[in-house]
Amino acid sequence: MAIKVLGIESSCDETAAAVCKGQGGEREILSNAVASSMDFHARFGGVIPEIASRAHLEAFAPVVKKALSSSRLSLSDIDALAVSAGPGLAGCLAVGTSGAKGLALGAGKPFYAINHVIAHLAASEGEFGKIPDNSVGLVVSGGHTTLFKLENFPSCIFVAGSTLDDAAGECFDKIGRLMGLSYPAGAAIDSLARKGDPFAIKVPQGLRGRKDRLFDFSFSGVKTSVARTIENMREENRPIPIEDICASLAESVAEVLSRKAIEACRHFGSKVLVVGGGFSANSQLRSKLKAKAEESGIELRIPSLSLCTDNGAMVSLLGLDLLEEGVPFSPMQASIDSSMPLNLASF
Amino acid sequence: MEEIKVVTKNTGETKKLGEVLSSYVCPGDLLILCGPLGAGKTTFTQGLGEGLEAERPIISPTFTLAREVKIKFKDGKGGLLIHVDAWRLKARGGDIFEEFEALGIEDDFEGNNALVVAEWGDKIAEPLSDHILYVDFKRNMERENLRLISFTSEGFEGFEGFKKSAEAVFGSFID
Repeated sequence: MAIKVLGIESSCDETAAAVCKGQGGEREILSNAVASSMDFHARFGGVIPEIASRAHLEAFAPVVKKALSSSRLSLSDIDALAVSAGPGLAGCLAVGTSGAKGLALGAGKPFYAINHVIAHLAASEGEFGKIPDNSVGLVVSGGHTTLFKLENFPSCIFVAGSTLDDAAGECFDKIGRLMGLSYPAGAAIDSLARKGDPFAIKVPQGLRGRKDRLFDFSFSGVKTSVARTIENMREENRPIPIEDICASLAESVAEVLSRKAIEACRHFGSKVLVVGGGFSANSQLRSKLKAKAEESGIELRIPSLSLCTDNGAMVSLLGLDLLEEGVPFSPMQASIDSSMPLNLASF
Repeated sequence: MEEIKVVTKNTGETKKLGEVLSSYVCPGDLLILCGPLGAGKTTFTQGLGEGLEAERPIISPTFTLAREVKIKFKDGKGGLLIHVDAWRLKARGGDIFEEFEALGIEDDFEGNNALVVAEWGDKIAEPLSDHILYVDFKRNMERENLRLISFTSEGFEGFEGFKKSAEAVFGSFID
């Protein structure tokens, strides 16, 4: 019998909800609604307050309603709810989690308080089906850069390596800011990079070839190096070759991410590499991963852009996995955890 | 106002300096770290965290704005290191005071035996405490790995002790 899960996401900037259906290993996304922060920009007459949980609060009910109505289901047709309970911004997580608990209590449905980062991997299941045993996962976003060994997704997963300092997306945002790009800078750097020379400027690759840090990342040195390059050029009154800088930065970051991900597949004997997180929308990273995976005979599962950035479907899909595996539901008193451990799929 | 300047030659030394400071911080202290991208603020905090036996490694808190890590102060008492990064607030514009307040750090600060480290926190975090140590990081144009790190106390009680230790380990620097 098919099961349906309503997934709710509010860990950072997006308020999102979705309904997904699962049967055996099959997955179908019935609806995927996101409250774009653009609506709020207009409503607040300016930049949306970063931590404004009230933005989530306002968007919560309309987004959930939209997810249900586009799936042509009502809350009573749903088997369970799932909600991101961490990691993320505490105030934001609290809105989604409290809302989901309220809905679950009111409708008499069970719920899972799930891990947002692990849900980024589950997102691939919306397009590729269930993640096979012994896969490797890479989550890259503004806040996370982590390689996972996925023995049996989602209940038996291990962190193989992580960033020791900055996340990949953060490195882009900070350098973008230095060059006068607006925040977040990922999309702008991506398109500028396409017009530049990726080898024009030397950018270090953190921890590349370090045997003791095989699957860890470091982007702090990348940031420092590019910042210095820009400052030196300014000092000498030279024009800043912004396209070349973007291209060189993207080349370095995409290279080290894809290289280590493929190395992890070889190391663990994995045939499938699952990628997720907002930064996996980056086109330089996508094409490098594709080339390297093909070369190594590894199947690359990287979802479309709308499933890479924060969304409700990924939460719902992880909920389906947990439900199918018979993982116990989360207790009503389960609380949020802004730094939820990355090997824990749900509370 | 008291001041001390230290030059570190590499990230290892910057980390070590943070570790030296760890013996002189106590609950209620606020460290405000300033300086450009890649100047060593997070590296310094990593050293501080190691000195305080942080239960998880310190990484950049930029994305989540604040990260809390359990630590042990030098007197053996357990506490919390609240590692804040106001970069996103400043990058985004808007009312940074209102948004900083919305982080609820003040609530976590009180009654939690906490120490706050605020990167990019100057002119925002000050209302949190009367015991402030400003740490300013400067990079060197010619010598890539060199950092000039200045400490200024505004009611930071461990200053004298820290000054002695830092001078013993790094020597003092007068420009």
